[in-house]
Order: sequence, then C-alpha cells, then structure tokens
Amino acid sequence: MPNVPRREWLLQSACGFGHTALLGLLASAQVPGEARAAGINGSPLAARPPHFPARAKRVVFLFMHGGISHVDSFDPKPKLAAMNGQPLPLPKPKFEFAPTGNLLASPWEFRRYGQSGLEVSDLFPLIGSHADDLCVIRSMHGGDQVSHGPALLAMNTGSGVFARPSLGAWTLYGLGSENDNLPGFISLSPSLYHGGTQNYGSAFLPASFQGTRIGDGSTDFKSTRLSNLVSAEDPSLERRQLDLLAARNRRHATLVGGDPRLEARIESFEMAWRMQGEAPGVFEIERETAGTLARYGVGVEPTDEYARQCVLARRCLEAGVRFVQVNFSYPRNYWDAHGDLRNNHTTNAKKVDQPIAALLADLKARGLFDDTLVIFGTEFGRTPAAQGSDGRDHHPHAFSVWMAGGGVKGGVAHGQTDEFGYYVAEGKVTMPDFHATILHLLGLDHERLTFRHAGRDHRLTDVSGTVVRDILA
Amino acid sequence: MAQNFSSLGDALRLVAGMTRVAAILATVMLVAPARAADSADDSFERVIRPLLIERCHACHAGEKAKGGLRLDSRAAVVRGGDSGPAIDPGQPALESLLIRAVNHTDGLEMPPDGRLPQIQIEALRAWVAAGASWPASPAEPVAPQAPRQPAIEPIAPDHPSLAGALQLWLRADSLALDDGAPVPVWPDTSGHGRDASATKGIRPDGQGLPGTFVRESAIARRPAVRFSTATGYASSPSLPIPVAGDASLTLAVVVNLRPHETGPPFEGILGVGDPANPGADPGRPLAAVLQINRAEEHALRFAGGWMNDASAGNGSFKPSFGRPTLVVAVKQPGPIRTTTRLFIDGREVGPPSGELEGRDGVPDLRHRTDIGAFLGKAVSWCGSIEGDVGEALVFSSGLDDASRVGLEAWLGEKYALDLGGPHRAPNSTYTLAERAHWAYQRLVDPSPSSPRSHSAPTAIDRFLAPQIEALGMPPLPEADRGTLLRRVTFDLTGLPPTPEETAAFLADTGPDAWNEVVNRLLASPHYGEQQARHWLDVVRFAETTANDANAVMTQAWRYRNWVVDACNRDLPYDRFLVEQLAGDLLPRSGDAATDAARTIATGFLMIGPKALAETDKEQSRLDIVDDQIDVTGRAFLGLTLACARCHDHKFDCIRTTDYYALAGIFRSTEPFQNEVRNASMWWEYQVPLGDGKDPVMVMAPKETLPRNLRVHLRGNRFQLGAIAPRNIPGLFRAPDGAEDGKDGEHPSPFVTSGGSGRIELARWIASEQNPLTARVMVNRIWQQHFGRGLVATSDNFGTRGEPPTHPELLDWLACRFIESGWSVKALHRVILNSAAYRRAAAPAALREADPDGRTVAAMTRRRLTAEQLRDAVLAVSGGLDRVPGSDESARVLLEKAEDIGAMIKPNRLAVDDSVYTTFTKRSLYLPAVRNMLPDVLALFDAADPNGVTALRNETTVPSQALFLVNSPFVRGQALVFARSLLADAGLDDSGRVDRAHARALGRRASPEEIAEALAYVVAWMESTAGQARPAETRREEAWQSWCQALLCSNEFAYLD
Repeated sequence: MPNVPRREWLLQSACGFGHTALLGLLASAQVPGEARAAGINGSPLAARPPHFPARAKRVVFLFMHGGISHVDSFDPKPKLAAMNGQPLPLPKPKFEFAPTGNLLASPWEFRRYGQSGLEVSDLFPLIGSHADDLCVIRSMHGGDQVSHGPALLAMNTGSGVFARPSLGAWTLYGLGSENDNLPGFISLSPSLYHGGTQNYGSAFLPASFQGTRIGDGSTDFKSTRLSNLVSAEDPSLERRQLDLLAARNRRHATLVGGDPRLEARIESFEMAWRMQGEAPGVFEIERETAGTLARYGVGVEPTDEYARQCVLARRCLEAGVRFVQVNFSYPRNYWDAHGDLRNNHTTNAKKVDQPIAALLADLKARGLFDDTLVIFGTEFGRTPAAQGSDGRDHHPHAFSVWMAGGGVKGGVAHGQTDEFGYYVAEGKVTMPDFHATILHLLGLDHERLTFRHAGRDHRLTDVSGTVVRDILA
Repeated sequence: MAQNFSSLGDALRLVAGMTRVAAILATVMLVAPARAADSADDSFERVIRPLLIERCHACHAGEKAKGGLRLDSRAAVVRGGDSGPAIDPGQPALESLLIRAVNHTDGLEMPPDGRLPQIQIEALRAWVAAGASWPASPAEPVAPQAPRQPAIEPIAPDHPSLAGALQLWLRADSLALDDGAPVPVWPDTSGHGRDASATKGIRPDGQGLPGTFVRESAIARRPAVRFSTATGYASSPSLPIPVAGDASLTLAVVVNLRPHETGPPFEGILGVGDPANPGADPGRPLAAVLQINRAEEHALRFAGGWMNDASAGNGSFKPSFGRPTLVVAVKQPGPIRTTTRLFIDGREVGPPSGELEGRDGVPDLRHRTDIGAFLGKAVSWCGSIEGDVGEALVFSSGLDDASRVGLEAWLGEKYALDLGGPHRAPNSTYTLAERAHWAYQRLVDPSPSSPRSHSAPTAIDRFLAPQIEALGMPPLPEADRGTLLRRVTFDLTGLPPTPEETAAFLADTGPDAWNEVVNRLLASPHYGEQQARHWLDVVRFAETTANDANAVMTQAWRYRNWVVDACNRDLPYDRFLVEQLAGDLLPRSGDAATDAARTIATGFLMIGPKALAETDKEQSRLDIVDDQIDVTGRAFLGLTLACARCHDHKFDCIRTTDYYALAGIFRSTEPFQNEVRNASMWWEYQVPLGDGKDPVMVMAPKETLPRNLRVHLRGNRFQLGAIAPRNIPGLFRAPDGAEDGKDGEHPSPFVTSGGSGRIELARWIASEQNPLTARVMVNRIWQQHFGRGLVATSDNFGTRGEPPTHPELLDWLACRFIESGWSVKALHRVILNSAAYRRAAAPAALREADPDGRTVAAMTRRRLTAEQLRDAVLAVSGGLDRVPGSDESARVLLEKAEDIGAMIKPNRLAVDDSVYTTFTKRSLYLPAVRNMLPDVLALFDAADPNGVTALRNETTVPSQALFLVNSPFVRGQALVFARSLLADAGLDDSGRVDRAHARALGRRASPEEIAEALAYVVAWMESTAGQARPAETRREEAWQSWCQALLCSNEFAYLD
C-alpha cells in the first residue's frame, strides 16, 4: 500500500473498507506512520495488531530514579571486596561526573536464589525470592550520559539531547489501547525534574500518545489523583449537559455536511463520560482485599507509598492499560548515593523490595505474568570506585536492569562486566538495544515503527538498536 | 563586506546553475568527445540548462516571456512565441528558430547582448539535433558520501609521546605577573629548569632586554610576552639542550608579529646553539635559528650559522604578520638543507626556490655541550622580532607527522589558530543533481497562466485555478459573512470577534468592508500577540532551561514581548531575522532604546533548552550550538542543518564540514558568564534605555573570541577531524573553487569582520538573493491561513520535505514579499484578499476528492489552538484581561522558584499551580515552563518548547473533554459567562441566549436554540440533584452549565 494520507485513510475507513483488510494492512510492512497514528476507524487509541505475534501485551516499567548501584544489587563483584581501598587497575572512563577514588567493596552480601542460583544482594531479598523469573541484564551501557537529566531521557526516550517521544508513547502508538475508558499509558509519580514531562511525553507524536500522569515525584502518592477525572457535578446533571452538548454538536455536524473530525470530538466526550465512570473504580485501590494490600505493604511504612503505586499499576494493567510506569522518583525518593551509600540504598530498597515482589506474585496469581513485561530499570549504575569515603558516583559505563514476564527467560543473567564492574566485558546492551528488545517483545519491529517528522522517519531507536535475542524465552 | 557580498551573490547565482565558469567548463568538456557514459541528460544538465539560464532566461522565462517566448521547459520551447516554435523537432536543427537566432541568421540576433561563443552554439545545435531532450530536475539527489576523515588527536607537549623529547617549554600563561610588568626571567615549564633570561643580564655580549607581560595579548586575548625590537632571551648554556650528532630537533612558537625596519635584516625568532659565535666554523655551524629574512621578502628560514650555509624554506612570513601564527620547524638527522621542513599554521612552507649557499654535504649542528636556546634579540648583529610571543617549545627530536599535527592541533586549539594543511577540511563538492533541488534555485517571478475570472479574481486565485479546475467541481462559494469574520479575526488576532464587530461587518455591505476589517485587525495590538505565538512555536520559546535544573530565565519574557512588538510594528522580516541572530552586532543606531531592543532580540539564541550541570562543559556548549543551528536552519531556511552533526546529511547536500563551519560561528558567541564553571549562569546584563530611563536587564549572548571548530567525527567531541572554517553552507558558495585559495583550501572570505561571522550569516540569510528565506516565510504565513503550507513541511524545504503544491505561487508570493520590503502585514493583505481565503469550508465530496486540501479549493476546517481556545473562553466569558502582559510570568516563576543561594533558580512552579486557573491575560503571557506545560496547553497540542514546532498536531482525546467538562478553569469561566449574562438587566432570558451565541459563536441564536436553552435551564433547576441550594444559586448554576456546553461545542472549537 502506498503512502495513504491520513484523511483519505479515514475516509476509506468510513466508507466500509473491510475491517479484516484493515487489520491485514496494518500488520503489513508498508503501514504508513500516519495510519498507525490515526488507528482504525479514526481513533488514535484503538487497539491494533502488532507487526508480528507478541510475547507481551502490556508493560509495567518500575523506574528507579537516581541510579541504583549495580555492584551492590544485581552484579556481584568479589574482587571489589578483595581489592577494597586499592586503586582501579584499569584506566578510568574519559568521562566521569566527578573524580572518584579507590575501589569500594559492597556493604552487602550476595546470595544465590532459586533453582537458577541467580545472585542478588541482600538489598533485595524479596525480589531475590523471584530470581527464577528474573532476567538480569548486567551489561547495560548508557553512552556518555553522566548527568541525571540526559540519562533519564536516554532511558525513557532514547535521546538525552533531542526531544523525542517516550517509550510508553511509542508503545501506545504501535499498539493502541485495550480499554476505551482509560488512558493507554499512565505514569505514576514521575519526577518533574530531569526531563520532566518529556520522560513520558509524546514529543512529535500526536498528543494522544502521551502518558497520563498521576501524581508527581514531589507529592506523596497517597494524596494524588488523576486530574479532571472527578466531576464537580451530580452525574445526572452532567449527563444532561452532555446530552445538550451532543445535540448541539450533531446539529452542527449535519449543518456543515459531516466531518470525521467533528464526529471524533463528539465521541471523545462520550468516552470521557465512560472514563469518568470506570476510572475512579480502577483507581480505588481500597477495593483490593486487606490481604492483598498487606502483601504489597500498603498502610505500612516504609512500603506504603510504592506499594500503593504497585497495586494501582496492577489494577490498571488488569483493566487494559497498555503501559504503566511506576516511578520511584526525585525529589522524595532518590537512589543518588554520592555519599553514605549504605544508608541511601538500604532505605530505598526497603521501600520497594516488598511491593515489587508482591507485584510479581500478584501478576502470577492472576494469570497476567506471562503476557506482561515487567521492567526494573534505572538511568545508570554507580562507580565501583568510591566517591568520598562511602559513596559512589554516576556510572553509565556499565549497569544492571532486569526484566521478567512476557517473553523473557527467567533465572538468567545476560552479559558481564569486568571483575570490578567498571566496564561491560561481554554482551553489551545499549539503550537502543534495550528499547529494540522491549518493542520486539511487544510484537513491534523497532525499524518499522516509524513516524515521519521534520522530513524524516523517526524511530525510538534512531539509527541503531539490535534485539537482544539471548534473553528471549 | 560589500565585495564579499557580491561574491556571495555570485555564489547564489551559481547555485541556480548560472555559472559562466561552469558553462565554459561544460563546453570545454564538449570539445572532447563525450564519454560513452555521458547520457543526454547529463549533458543537458551540465551544458544546456546552464546555458539557457545564463544567457536566455533573463528575458525568456516565467513571467518575462519577451515575444511570448519562454525557454524554461521543453513544452514552452516547442510551443514557441510570437514568431512561432523556437524548435520544431521535425525540422533540421539548423532551420529551427532557436539555432537561427543564435547564429544571427535572418536578422535574428540572440542573445542581444552578444553572440554566443561558437562552441556553445554548436552545443545547442547538437542538442536540438538530438531531439532536445529535457529531463526533469532530479527529484532526489543522492548525496555522495564524503571520504572518511581521519581523526586528529590534539597532543599536549607533556603527553607521554612528546614529553621525552621536550627540552624547553616557555608559556606566557605560566607567568604570574601584573599586566605590563617586565619579564626579566621567563621560566621553563618543561621540567628541565632552562629558564630564559634577558640576554643582557646573562651574556657578556648580550643585548636583549626583558619583554613585558601582557595579560590579554594579540594572540587570542591570551597571556603573552610582548617583544620590542630590543627584547631577547636565552636559556643558560650550563643546561645544554642534548642535540647530538646529526641533530634532529623540533621548534615551535606561537607568535603575533609586526613587520619593522629596525636593526639587521635577519630577525631571529627562536634558535638553539650559541648565538655569540656564528662564523667560527662555517662548515659546522654552532647554532640554528628560525628567522625572518627581511631582505628576502620576509622569507621564513631555518638557518644554521649566519652564512645561509644551510637553510630551508622560502615561504614568506608576510601574510602572517599581524595575526596569531604557529611556526614549526622539524629537522631530521642530516644536513639542514635537506632535512628541515617548515610549517606555518600547519601548512608546509614550500621548498627553497632561490640559490642557497649551504651545501648538502655540510654536516649538521656540531654537537656541543653548551648549546642553549634563544629568542629574539640575542646579540648586536642579530635582528629581532617585534610583537607577542605566547609559547615557545624545543624538542630534541624531529617529530613525525602525526606527533607534529597533534602538537599543532593542541596549540591551535589553545590559541584559536586558523590552521591549514591537514587541519583544514577540504571543500565540499556538490553534484549538479544535488544543486538542482527546486528550493535551492533562485526565485523567479512568474505570472499566472490562468486568466482572471469571477472565481479567480486575484493572482493567487489564478495560480490556484488549474488544480482546482482539474477536480472537476464547481467553485465553492464564499463563506457566509459571519463565518468569514470569525475566521479572519481568529487568524489575525487569535480572539473571537465581539458581537459589535460582527454586527458592524454584517451591516457594512460596501465594497471596502473586507479590506477595512483586515486593516482593522492588522492594526490591533492583538495581531502582534497572535503572530508572535506562531513565531514562538518556531523558535522554541520558554522561560526555563529544561534539562537538569529547569532554571527560571527571568528575562526571557523580554524576548517574547520584543516579538509581539516587532510583529505589531511590522518590522521588516529581513531586519526581524537579522536582529534575532545578531542584533547585538549591528552598528549602534544612536537611539539607546532601539539598541536595547536589538540586544533583547538576540534572546533568540538564548531561550533554547540547556544543561547547566553537565560536567563536560564543552559538550553542553556544543549541544547549545546544535540547538542554535537547528532552530536557525529550520526557522529561517527550512533546512535541517542539524542532521549533519554526526554524518553528512543523508538526503540533503549538507556536509559535516558545513555543520561545523556554522558551529564555529555559534561557538564564537558565549551564552554563559563562565565558560568553565559547572552550572554557570547565562549572560544577563544591563543595557541603557536612554531618555533618563532606568537601564534594563537583558538576556543576550556575548560575542567572544572567534574560533573555528574541527569536525567532530560522528559528533564525538573527542574524535576531531579537520578544521571547518566558519562559513555558510558550501552548497551556497561558489561551486567552481573561484573563492578558494591555494591548494583548494577555502580561505573563508565569508568571515571578514574579524568577528564570529554571526552578522555575516544573518545578512546572508536576510539577503534577497537567498533562495530559501523568503519562500520559507511566505509559506509559513500561507500555512497560518490555510492550515497547510504550499510546502507542507514548512520547516523542511530539503529533498525529504514535501515539494510545493504550487511552486509558481510560492515564488510569486516570495517576490511580492521582498518587493514590499519584507512586510508581513502586506503579505497577509495579499493572501486575505484572495477568493481562496474567503471560500467556504470543504464539503464532504471535496474532502473525498482532495483529502489533504492540496488544491486549496476550499478552506480547511481548523480547530482552535490551545491558546486560542483558552483565550476565546476568557474573551467570551468577559474574563479576559486584554492589557498586554509584561513580566507577570517571570514574577510568578520567581516567586515559586527554589532559592539555592545562587543566580540560578530552579523552577518549582507545578503543572497544576492555581496560576493556570486564575491568570486572565492571554495565554501567550502564561509562564512558559519547559517539560511542565499545564493541562490547558499540553492536552490541546500546544508546542513543545524543547524544539522547533513548525505545525501543531491536532489530536482529539477524551482527556481534552475531561478538562473542558471538569477543570476549574473552564467551569470558573462558564460561571463568569453566566453571571455576566444574568447581570444584563436589559435582556430577558431569550435575549441572553441570543447574546451568548453572539459572544461565543458570532451569530444569532435560532428560535429552536433559544427554546432548547430555556427548557434546559428550567429542567436543570427542577431536577432533584440541585434542589438543596437556593433558587438563585440554582439559576446561576443552570446558566453556567448551559454556557459551559456552549464553550465545549464543536462550533466553538472549530473555525470554518
């Protein structure tokens, strides 16, 4: 199919172009970006088939802001302990955020978990108990992004420099939403800093694909809600108003001879009405049983806040939201341990370990685990060498993330760093590789998921990216 | 500059394929038998098209069709003019009118200004005889990939690869002295302790006096030791430089010298050996010195002894006087004459031409244990240099090329030297096919070929007519007058017409009613606000830095208001762009307020996103430069220049050398107060306003030391290639090397002012000769009025952009624009006066036939933008404060910003701050926070200020509906609207409904609508849900609800 302009596409859809034919066309390689933006029947958020059969239908991205130290969490380095206090016998990276000193042993023990014997540190004993489901990537490489802002943007949008659509926006653009009554991409407690809205924004993609923010990193999650979702009006009065509006709009549409765009806007008010009816129910985590809430750690410190986010994330996924990002974010929560690593990481890990473990268990219990991709990520690792006496600095040159669920192997560690955890030694995974792999698991070819902007076809992975096939189940 | 400009003009003409040189070259090529591979198309492109353009098109192309003849397409040539077909493919070539004319047979003499060279006549004849093939311009020129550039790694003198040979390192920047203080001793920083002292103090025959320390010297404003003709230094002979046997050594100096006539003609720069004992053994010189021989045209020489017994190089130092210069002498073991190479600024100085007295058989500097180094005037018979010396180095080995180039690169970087040779990127070359892209061709001034008619009364309509007629549908009627007024009022002011304005226009049936409305709107202060909003989208305006700190730029609003003001006073567009790029560099006007405004205009360069905490400061600077190049290219030129940062542009003929030639210009302008410190404050400074007014604080960059950048291979600043001298993109320079200097090196005549080149760049963009500037701007204005540009990709006129739907109309508009003195208001008038603008919105059948509105057969239905929607809600409710904003946004931001005890104040204004609900000025004046746009903007596709927004998206999602139905802003304004209706005692409820329609929709309410509204209010009040509240409150709420529905309606949200 040649490039079909959006409006023509809409018209064809409206003129009874067969639905099956449409599905076929959407799945074919020649789907124009504009068509994917317009979606089927003109709704940009309508669900659409992937390029090829997907292993995961939805994503929950547990984002740890500030940079979790890999050598203290998922990448054990006995040599660090052996050479504690000694200089790194390798050249240091050309770019560091600040000068670092000698090697610093991890304050935490690592132990083996499950049948796989995957090693996880004592920071995350409960996540560790799910080791057989985890696919740890120990060879992440974040390019030269040594500052939080660009590194966050690189992780979430693929570019630390240019304004680019976020991973969630690309996902929604690629697949649409499975629930008409809820946003397709929700970001819980995103930081307003270090790229802010850009980290869940749509940039040049149509705004329909941007993430819907609930709360922000500066506010306790308990006291936040989705803006404009709650009506000040009695529902019967609001319905009356919407009926008036619909009547006026229909007369107007008839008068001007019909226009799919006017129709779409009429429908958007109806969808808003339905969303208003359904979303608050989804967002009321109190509807969960006391047992469930307790397993996540709701109502108990220090887990309450992240537990609430995780419970809500699961409820959203269950209700058909395509992409949920669960942020543990600045300024209230921050892994940026330039000093007092032990205290910083201990405090933070205690806040997230139980909720995340509970989320994994809950997804399994509800049969959602196999087609939900769980990602645990951070913008960079931390230097194996000390900053000051007891801190670690930013370290994009090698760090760890993990995935679990839809389509990834469990109980494995992909890639390796050198014996100090300074550089990637084997199986390097760049940000574009990471993104290409996520899209692949969702049934999307990162080279075919394009959008024409400023005269060229843009991709999440820009000009590189290779799917990390080793981790595919 | 004038001369330079004419050469630029030449360059632009050349771009259009009109090069005499090219034509001659082409014909020369014709003389030789055409290579078999040469297709007819190639020879047409290389020979015929340039010839026709050069010699014929002035009178026979486009609108200028003398004698009715056009020679700009095959069809036109065959059709011919008043005298019949110019060529007739059925006739022998010699009998065709064209060939007879150029042969001056039958009294036809073309071109009138002189017969073509016979060789061109032959070429034309051959072309006609071969069937006059006329290939279309290649649609997609494929950019040949430039050869891979080698990386040039700067090597510091103390780098391990050089440190072993480093014997002497004098650096003026190591001197801790007061400016102007004498320098009796210049300490050696090589670690060998060979401190250089004024020779008068240390040698029995010493003549040299101390130089003076200059903190900001003529070498890149860096520290230097200033030499008079009496200044001379030597290191102690007791610390000899170990030059052994057939010595090899390397000397390097960074100087800025003046010619002078004092003393002996041999002016010693830097030498090693014993200056006091020249001729003791001419066969075995005891010293060798790098010197300028004034007696021989200031030849640069490296001579052993003083008898010219061994010497190398005859390159003249003359062109290097008065500018920072790096001189390097590299000597390998063996006789000086055959083993020495001299380099000025990285360029090798040619081999000696004259007779040298030296003998190749003469061995080298005799090994001595007391050999030292000396600079300037050492002894009575030795002349000296005059000027600044920044750095002098002696190595005890002849550096290999890689090391030398690395050292040169290091010194070149440090002293901002204009290096050549391997440091200089070769000129880019472009194929004719690349240059043939439509947008790079000079503007022509075409006339519409369709006749004037009832449905095509203006030139614009006549240009549009053929494509509209091809649709085969009857022309659409003019929209009704209420619709028209609402359309044009929003288009020009971003606000709805008031009921009074609507009534007046409906009542005025005179022939000038439309023009009067247009003129009234263009004169409204709200015009500038609306026009500015378009521009601010393009220039990524915001008031915070984004990225890490998202710090508040408290003076950014001045730039915003400058744009509003410039639009309102219709500042000619060429000036508008020059002031934004280089207002600070314009000659002072004599009026302080004018000068201040021009400085404020350069906020254009400052308002982009920037990282403050980036540890790699140079990287963060280069990212800012990238933003500046991107916005300059896309805003003014429709070129995606920034694509060439890491590799040659994939599709357009923009090379990385072009990118870094521009990057050098912007890198020579400093946005930060402290280039080095992490998280430095950007430049803000006071400028006077005159007339006893207080000075104002402005955010504007400062011109800094001009520098050329090296190409950053793959965009990596640690992988440096050759230097790309500051310049405009090569595509727009002469293609034939006419401007080039020796060795194909481009001498960069573009930068003549000694400044960054920013003002020259601005003037080049603003030139009438620039093929892109006027086209890009008229296309933007067209897009504003029709929702789609004639070039749909309004920020990309490159080969990957959309081609124009109406190329002739685009050029015609561009010509009118330039003709009007670049008046944007005049351009609006021309467009708004067309029948096309006043047509009704497209009905379904037309949308089917032309889904993208390419034919402009109808008006495109457009949704109000985020700002228009918000402003319209306020205007209709009566809540709008129409007084122009000033620093309110900055004050709101500052009030909420975090005080970290520094000038830099991180933003803390939340996206859901109440200001976004309570602010009643126009949306343009809202705080503009990067990455934190409030719902009222973000949900409705407002521009993301992180980059250029050429055309807004138009999305329809339920969150917009939720905002309109539930947000405190819309609900609040609906209440204001309701109360103002209810407060109007002169109206009954029917009158209120009617009035509300007039205010919101610009029309009367129908009887059905009135009945429906009245029933709605009654039903609302009677519903049980509202019963708890007093009747008066319920009445207000009922009207509020009804008013809100009006504000939510499609009729309100769309412009027909």
